[in-house]
Amino acid sequence: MAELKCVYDPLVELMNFYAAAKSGPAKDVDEESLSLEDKLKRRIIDGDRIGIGDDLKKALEQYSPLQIINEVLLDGMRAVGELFGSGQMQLPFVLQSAETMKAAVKYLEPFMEKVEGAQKGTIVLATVKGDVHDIGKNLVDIILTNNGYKVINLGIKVPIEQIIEAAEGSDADAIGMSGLLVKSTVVMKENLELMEQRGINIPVVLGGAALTRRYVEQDLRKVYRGYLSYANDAFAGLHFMEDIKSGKVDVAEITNATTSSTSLNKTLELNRKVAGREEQVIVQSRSKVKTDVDMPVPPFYGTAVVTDIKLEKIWEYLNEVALIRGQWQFSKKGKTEEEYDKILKSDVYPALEEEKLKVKRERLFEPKVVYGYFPCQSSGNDLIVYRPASDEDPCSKWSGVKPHNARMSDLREWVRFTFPRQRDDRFLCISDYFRSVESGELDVIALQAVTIGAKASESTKRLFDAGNYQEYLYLHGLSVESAEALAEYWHKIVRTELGIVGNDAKEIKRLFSQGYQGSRYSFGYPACPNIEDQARLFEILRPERAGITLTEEYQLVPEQSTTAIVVHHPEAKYFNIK
Amino acid sequence: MTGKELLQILKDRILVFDGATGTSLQTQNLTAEDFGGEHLMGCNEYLNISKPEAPEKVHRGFLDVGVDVVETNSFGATPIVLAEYGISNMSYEINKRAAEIARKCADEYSTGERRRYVAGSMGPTTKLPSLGHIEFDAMRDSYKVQVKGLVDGGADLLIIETCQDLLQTKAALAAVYEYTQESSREIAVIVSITIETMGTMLMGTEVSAALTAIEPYDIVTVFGMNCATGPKEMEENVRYLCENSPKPVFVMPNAGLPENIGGQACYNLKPDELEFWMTRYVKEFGASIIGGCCGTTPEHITRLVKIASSVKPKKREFSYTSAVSSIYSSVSLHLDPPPVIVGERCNANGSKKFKELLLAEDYDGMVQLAKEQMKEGAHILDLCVAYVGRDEVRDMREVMKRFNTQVALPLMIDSTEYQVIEEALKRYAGRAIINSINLEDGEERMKRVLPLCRKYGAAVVALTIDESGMAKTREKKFEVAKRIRDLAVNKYGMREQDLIFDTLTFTLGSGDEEFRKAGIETIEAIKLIKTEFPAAYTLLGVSNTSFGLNAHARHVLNSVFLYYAIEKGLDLAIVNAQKITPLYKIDERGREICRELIFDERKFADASAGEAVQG
Repeated sequence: MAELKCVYDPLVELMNFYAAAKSGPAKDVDEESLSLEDKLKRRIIDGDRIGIGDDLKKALEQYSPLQIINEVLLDGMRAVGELFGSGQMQLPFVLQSAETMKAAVKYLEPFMEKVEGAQKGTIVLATVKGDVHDIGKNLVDIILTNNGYKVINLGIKVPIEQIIEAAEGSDADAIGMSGLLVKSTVVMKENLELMEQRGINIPVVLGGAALTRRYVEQDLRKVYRGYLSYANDAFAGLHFMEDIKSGKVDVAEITNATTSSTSLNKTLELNRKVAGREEQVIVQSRSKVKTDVDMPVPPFYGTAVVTDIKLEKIWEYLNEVALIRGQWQFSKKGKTEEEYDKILKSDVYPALEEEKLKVKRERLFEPKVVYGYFPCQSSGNDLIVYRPASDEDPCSKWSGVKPHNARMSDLREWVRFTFPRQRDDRFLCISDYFRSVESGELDVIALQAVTIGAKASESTKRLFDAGNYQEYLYLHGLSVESAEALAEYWHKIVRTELGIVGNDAKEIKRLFSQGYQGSRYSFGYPACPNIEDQARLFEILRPERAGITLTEEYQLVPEQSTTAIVVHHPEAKYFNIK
Repeated sequence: MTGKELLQILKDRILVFDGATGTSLQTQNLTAEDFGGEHLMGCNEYLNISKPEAPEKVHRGFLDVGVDVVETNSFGATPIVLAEYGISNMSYEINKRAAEIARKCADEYSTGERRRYVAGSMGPTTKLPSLGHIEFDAMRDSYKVQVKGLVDGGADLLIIETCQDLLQTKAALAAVYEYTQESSREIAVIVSITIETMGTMLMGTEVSAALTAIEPYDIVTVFGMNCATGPKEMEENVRYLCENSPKPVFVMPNAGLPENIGGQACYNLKPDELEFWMTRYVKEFGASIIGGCCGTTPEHITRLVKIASSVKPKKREFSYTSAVSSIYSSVSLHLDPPPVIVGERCNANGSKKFKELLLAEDYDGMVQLAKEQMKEGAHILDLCVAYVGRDEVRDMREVMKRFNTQVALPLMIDSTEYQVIEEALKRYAGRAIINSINLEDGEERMKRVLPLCRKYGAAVVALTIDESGMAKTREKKFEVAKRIRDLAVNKYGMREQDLIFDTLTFTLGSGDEEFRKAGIETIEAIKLIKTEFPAAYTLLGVSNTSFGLNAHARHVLNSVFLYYAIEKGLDLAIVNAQKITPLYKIDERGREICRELIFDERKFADASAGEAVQG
């Protein structure tokens, strides 16, 4: 046989073909071959902070610390923002990226000369007066800080005076106001009006669960001359700052335009006229809510404190959608059902189980409930809650007056709530759901205050302070939703005890959309926006016995607590006071 | 009764277990004196000694209404639980007495045509090993005392019930395994898990993960669920078991969800409702053994007896694909589309990062690395903590303690030391894969490792290596695989579906003439094995194929090689999931060169004639 010589060897061919490093497969290149800059950028995107010091050390041989931050790391954060915005990245991973960014900046700090104004811009952030919800605002803080902005975070329940003072004192470029309650949107409006009066026109960004783009861009822009922007997620705050600092949005021009054209004045005037007309609308004194519905009999009058509540029981009522999409922000945006399910299965549910185990193991939640039933009657927009005419302590279970034989003559007025009435539509008012003084019959109202306990707040604060943002988001979200779940669970107990549980939806998840008889209203929400009513509820229930207290701004402490009035009337559902 | 005998009985009919023991004892209003003193008040198991009439009365109550099986009054009779009353040393005696009492009653009611049986009840104790409450060995030894007492007292079968933590179940099974090995006795075993109202076991285990972990145990005859909820809440899980479990299904609900009334747990399910649901489970789903747990009375159980005599059970058709699991969830050994990706980075020999974390004993960092791989798309994680100069047993113990509960993916335990393997298996609640066995030193490794696989229900990777070294041709690879398969199945009691063959990957990057055809041989061997042993699985460490080439070439060659291996039937691939690209994303020329390399399509020319011929 003749000697054969190899004339084509695919191995040699392969080595030659990929000899040039850049010609690999389009994506997913090998880490070893990445440039140092790309490697660092990748670390930010992947949230991979373990060992980032080595790469930064190498980078410092070529770049100044500021160059590394501004030209390399922030590029990574920008990519994270884009991935988040397009739904390709979930919030917990964004937080890992933020933690990595923070670790990198911390590593670089000692190498930087402290130069004032090295920051790209300054913003004052605050949760507005009367509101304690700060997770959204803190996310904005994390993302802005880690993108090189100076953030003055004033915390929660901040009065407008303090916000203005901080903004002027720091020569801030912008103000960010946040709040979760419906009432906070009104506070924001008042704040803007006050700023307008004083001739302040600094750019303002607003965010919070109850806000809508429409409200900010149509209603609020009418009362404020400065540049005003709506932030629908944590990255919107970053885009806002980039816009005003890069000159993409000409703040001065916007402000001048509104001033010179006096259109704002016109709108303001028009608004007043419209408002005046509204005043003249004849408001009916009562809705058409039925007055002869069946009257349930409560098991007792007075209050009870319950402490031995199983977490598993509470978690049966956990609204996972609110937790996962709302609190944890695993959005479905840009994903198919299947892809989303996969994420849920591979990341979210294991995280949830882990979090629950941790909570149990470390006994982070200490659920408690104070609740009770009381005789009551309506009088116009008022709801009168009665107590025994005798000197008996109305806060314990009553021994003198019992639900089945209570007479008016055994009772006297205790606390009076005044609920607002709709100005149009159905003229609804919560008081209408109760028998009136005129009817001569007694009705019953249930009140409840629930809490997950102070330990949850303390733990979340520690996590935030330590920079464990992902853990913080997870635990905070679970604690808030667990408080909601406890409220839902206790509402179920109340319906059971009132004997109206038979109309409940079979699936727990349908209870979240009021799949039951009656309604549970919390102060500060649309049907009963007066947060001051908390004080009245506190007088009746004395939730201090479960460790729940009320601040001067009528906010509950610990944050993971809720109170509610429970109405049994079959027509009672959520409605809006417009 | 052996497992086979129990299966034989279940072929023709369903069996009815009794109702609640604990709650039935409570209704007898027993005094401190009955319990043998104030300090033993509430210790139901001690009644076997102090007032045997009490459990007897419970047994008779249920035998009267016609049950087939009574459970011994020994739910909490392990030394662990009895220690709370200071009588742990009496465990053997109490269990033996419990079985004797039940035996006596059952025998009284047995007739020539119809036997009544005694099931030795083994409860979950008061400790959760996955949370570190107790060491596995201590728990296993405690159960061993109970098993011995129950069998010596005359129990026909054992029921490991109300399982909360699969590691606890495994400790009980290890006790049964050791007992049967040592005493050469065989006894049928039922494992019954408890699914809480939240839809998983207390530790977060899904029903599929529990089935995956327990199904491989040949000593377990029947699998099912009891306690925590009423029958209605069990529906989804009973359906799952009946559609998937290769073992007959056991269902024993409470009399509804307990309601707290005046500080007492009350069970309010009406016999009618129990009958309704259990009829459904027998008739429509095909459950084989039914009974009642907390709160069920003779009044309830009489309805179950009625079902057994009047309802024709559904003939179940189940589909089960071998799987592995973590404490939380299960992963099939065959995915569609293949492959099952085994993440390779938690390996102290293969990953610099993992090695450094191990040396620094940074356990959080190791958990983090495991989680990263999950994000990257791995389905199973290889775990190897072997490092020169370190105590591998200790390292495995420390890592496994965390990985068991903190890593949601099933693990492949990678070690050459059988002591390390057992240390890992004792701390793993899910079903693991052992990596690996071979015939390098003859049967030595199989002899050590396969009994562990049986004792803990693990799957195993078998490398095609024998006394003459690594098999290089497809014929030799298949020959070694066949030898391993025959030994494992015929001699060591493994099942074909527990075996995962690795046909060895050699680098194509060296240009060495000896290995030019290594790629084809490896993937053709996969085809031979899959054809001959269809129940077995195959695995390759893919990245070896490109060793020695530059990063880009490696990436492409690995991807193309994996593609062709899958075409021949590969099930699992050990690979860095991020370093694999789907074929369509690779440029055509690169793809073609790799194909030529894998199939050795060199071109040759006759040096004298200058004419090209294919190699």
